[in-house]
Amino acid sequence: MSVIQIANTVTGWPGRRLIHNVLYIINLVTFSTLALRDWFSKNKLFDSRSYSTTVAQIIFTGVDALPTITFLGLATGFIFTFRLISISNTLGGTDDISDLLITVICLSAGPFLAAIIIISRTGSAIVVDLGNMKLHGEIEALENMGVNINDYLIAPRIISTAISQLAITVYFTVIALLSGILISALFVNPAHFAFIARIIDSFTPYLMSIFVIKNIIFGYVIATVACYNGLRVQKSATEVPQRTTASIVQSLSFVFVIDALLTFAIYI
Amino acid sequence: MQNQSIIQCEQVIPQQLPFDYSGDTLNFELSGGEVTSIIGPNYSGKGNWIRTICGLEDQSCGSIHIKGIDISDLSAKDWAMTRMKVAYLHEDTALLSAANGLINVLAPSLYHQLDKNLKKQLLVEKALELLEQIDPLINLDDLPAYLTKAHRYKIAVARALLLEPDVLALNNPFSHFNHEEKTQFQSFLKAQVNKGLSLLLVTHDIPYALDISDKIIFADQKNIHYFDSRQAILNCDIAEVNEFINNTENQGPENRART
Repeated sequence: MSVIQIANTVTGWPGRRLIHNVLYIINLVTFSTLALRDWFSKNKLFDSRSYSTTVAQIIFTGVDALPTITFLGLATGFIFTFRLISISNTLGGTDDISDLLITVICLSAGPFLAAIIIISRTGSAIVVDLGNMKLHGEIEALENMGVNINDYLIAPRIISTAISQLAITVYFTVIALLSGILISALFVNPAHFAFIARIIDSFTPYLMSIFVIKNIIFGYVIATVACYNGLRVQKSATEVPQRTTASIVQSLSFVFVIDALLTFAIYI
Repeated sequence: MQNQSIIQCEQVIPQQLPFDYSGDTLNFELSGGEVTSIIGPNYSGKGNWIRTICGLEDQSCGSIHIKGIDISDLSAKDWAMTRMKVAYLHEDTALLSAANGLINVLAPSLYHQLDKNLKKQLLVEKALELLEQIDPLINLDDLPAYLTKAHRYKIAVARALLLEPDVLALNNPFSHFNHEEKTQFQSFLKAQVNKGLSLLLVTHDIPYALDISDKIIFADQKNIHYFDSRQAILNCDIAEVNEFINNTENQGPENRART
């Protein structure tokens, strides 16, 4: 094997992977754009076409996840909020602690933990659901009756998951902050109740818009990856778990990368 | 509605026939209230012919018009209209596994917003009336997995009919029915035809096909023959057609097989 061939082999693999990944991202963007285009061209926000699918998805993704999110919020409140407030005198001013809590809980841990919950619960459920529908001919039967699956099955799932991601992050953040402040105020210093007002003051519209955009992007990406993988199931039942695993891994990777890119864009 | 052409096929051959075909093309027209059956030996591509006629498979040549629109160049809106007006069901047409029988029947109609013209309650009443006519014994609260194949098929038929199609295309419709259910379902189909529905059937029940059909298409791997009446097929001098009809008349319906 010549040096050029070895060089080609060494550089070829990362190149092929890069092209593969770029094409995959283009596929995902096209897939979700077409789904949303079909949905918005026919539907009002809650139309009879997809109302039940949208509401059912919000209930499954958002409402049904509340016990888990509550537990995680309380744990995070105890681990992070309580401890950070407890050592506020050592670290410096209370304003710094408020900023730190917003950065850690609201803009980092909250969206990230909510995304992990949604990937493991909703993302996997969407892949299995759509994969089995495809496998059993349910999607073909719908299409044969003139039902556009983009606006009947895909877009409602993407929109609902994005809404739910935002809603459960808000819920998680509130629980995590309030529980930590409450414990700290009850057991360390009652003056720590003042952190509630300070955090509200420090949570500027700019930070709030970052919070909203980040969560909507996370939910959108997770649902898009799940729907795309679900519809890639062809004929064999073994493809369903394969696509589910692929969806979870890809969603996690996207969430990490998007989080890093947003952090880079905001803070650097 | 009678005599108004709904499907027109000119010189059509399905693209996805699973064998080399060098026979004739199909020239055929289906009008309102007419019944056309496609019959022929096993593995003669009857499923491909019916799906192509319905616009669900591409043709290798010729043209197909559904309600005057060339199906090779359909907009998304025309595609949806075509699929509503020509309802195609095969023997194992799937229902939504996560929805019970009644929701399955209503879902496509709600999607196409038929409840805008007809209030949702009236749509539900219409669905229930349709199901009552097809089979009053179907348990509509059960998920499809808990229903018999015959009941699932009847729900699929009700789901298609609620969309008020002009043509009901059924591929091997009686395969899950016992004798009694089959007779009952055939009576139901006849009643629908009397109301103006057109039927396009692929069936192995040759006596039924000869009895109910206005037109008959015979397909085998070598050729396709079109007959515009029952008498025309019985009086024809094509050896393979006569052999097929004579053979099936000597056999029971249990000898039917897949298309």
